[in-house]
Amino acid sequence: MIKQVQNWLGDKKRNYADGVVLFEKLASDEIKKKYLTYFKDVKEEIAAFDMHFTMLVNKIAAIEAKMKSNPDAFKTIAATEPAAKNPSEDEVSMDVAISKVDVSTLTDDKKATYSRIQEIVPLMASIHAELDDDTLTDDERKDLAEQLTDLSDEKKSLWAEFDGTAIVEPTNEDVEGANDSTVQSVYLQNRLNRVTENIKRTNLSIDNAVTAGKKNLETNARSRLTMYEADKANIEQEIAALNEPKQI
Amino acid sequence: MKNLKRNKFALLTLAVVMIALFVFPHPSFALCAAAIPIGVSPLLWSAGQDNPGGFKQRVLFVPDSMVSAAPALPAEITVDADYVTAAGAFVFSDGTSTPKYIYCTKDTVKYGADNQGDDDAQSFTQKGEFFFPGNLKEAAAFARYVNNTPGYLVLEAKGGEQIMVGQKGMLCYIKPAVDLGQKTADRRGYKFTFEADSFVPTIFLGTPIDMDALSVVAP
Repeated sequence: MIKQVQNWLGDKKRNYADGVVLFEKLASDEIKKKYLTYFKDVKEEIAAFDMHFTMLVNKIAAIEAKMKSNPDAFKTIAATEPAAKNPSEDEVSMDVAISKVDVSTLTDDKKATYSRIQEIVPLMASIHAELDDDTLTDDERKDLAEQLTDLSDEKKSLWAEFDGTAIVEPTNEDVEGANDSTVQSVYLQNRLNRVTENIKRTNLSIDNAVTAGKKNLETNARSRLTMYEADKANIEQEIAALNEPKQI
Repeated sequence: MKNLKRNKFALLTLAVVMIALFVFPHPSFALCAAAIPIGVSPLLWSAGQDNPGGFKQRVLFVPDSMVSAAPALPAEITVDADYVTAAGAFVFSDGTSTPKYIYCTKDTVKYGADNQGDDDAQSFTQKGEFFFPGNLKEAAAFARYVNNTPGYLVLEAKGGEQIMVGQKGMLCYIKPAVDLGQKTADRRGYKFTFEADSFVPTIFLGTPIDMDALSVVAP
């Protein structure tokens, strides 16, 4: 959280609205009572030396000093952030159960549902990882939290269709089957789908960061993109190697 | 008897003042914060690091009389950077003014800090200069205005970091001089030398200013 405050203060082109959000989140009730209405009483984008803006900078600089000298006092605020939302126990047990589904016993409809659930799980993990990024703005964090909630709801409703009947404990044969090329192919295809989805989302993040002029976010997103693209190239190579005709 | 009563009253007043200062310390006592030990982490120089000298061709001036608040060094030191980093904004009392943007001729903006004072009382004299070319009436007017108007200067190093000269209570004084030359090839213009006392050799501006935006003249 302090990183967000420092990024905002250190940005020559700091955004007023972002500052008001930080102030509302971090200032004491007493200070908010005095200034929040004044800070919010701005209808359009204001100049850097408008009194609203300069006073806001001073208030947030004071908050930063407090955060540095007494970080414990701000821990509860960080804990109530949407970013702090972790998967519930139900979600975790659902993920464990999904891994035990016997796909061969499913009808085509249920196979499609199962496949969608398998796509959702890593996507949610990826969003959880993104939410740990300290440089995210509150709006970006809120968007990600909403996506997470939507995916979670979708997963729950899909899971209800299974009714638990298709769950089987893995047998020795299943474990041995992991070496089978068909199983590996499905596994690689799933990884490819996941990383392609991540690339799509990261490109979107880059566009948003460029539009908002957020250099830090753009740099972070570009480094994630490089990582995902390298991952994708590796997976494609593995798939190609798997599909190559074997010499006898 | 009267003297005894007066002495008792004086002692009582002194005691009350001492207790009040202990319970509600004056902000200027924050200087005592500098007594904490500086971090022992090593000072390193990374290989391949850029190190251009000098400053960019622009300077900002803010008269102290026009602002109700200015960036300040923190009262409490938590990391080494706090010793030399001022945070906050210049709050203009009229709510509409902005820092005065001054274009400077290439390689004429200069800054340094000399040590001053006797043993156990040392501090710094921050000083430097910048040059505005030409013989504009506006430049002459600014030279007259700034001649007895202390305030703050903001300089931007080639590396991008902004530094502030002048603090609340220890302002920056500017001494303008003009030289309109003698020969055709002479450069004419206004040279502004400045000076400020400080405990800090260089005050970094932790809340940098968008100088580009200030250089734009409204149509």
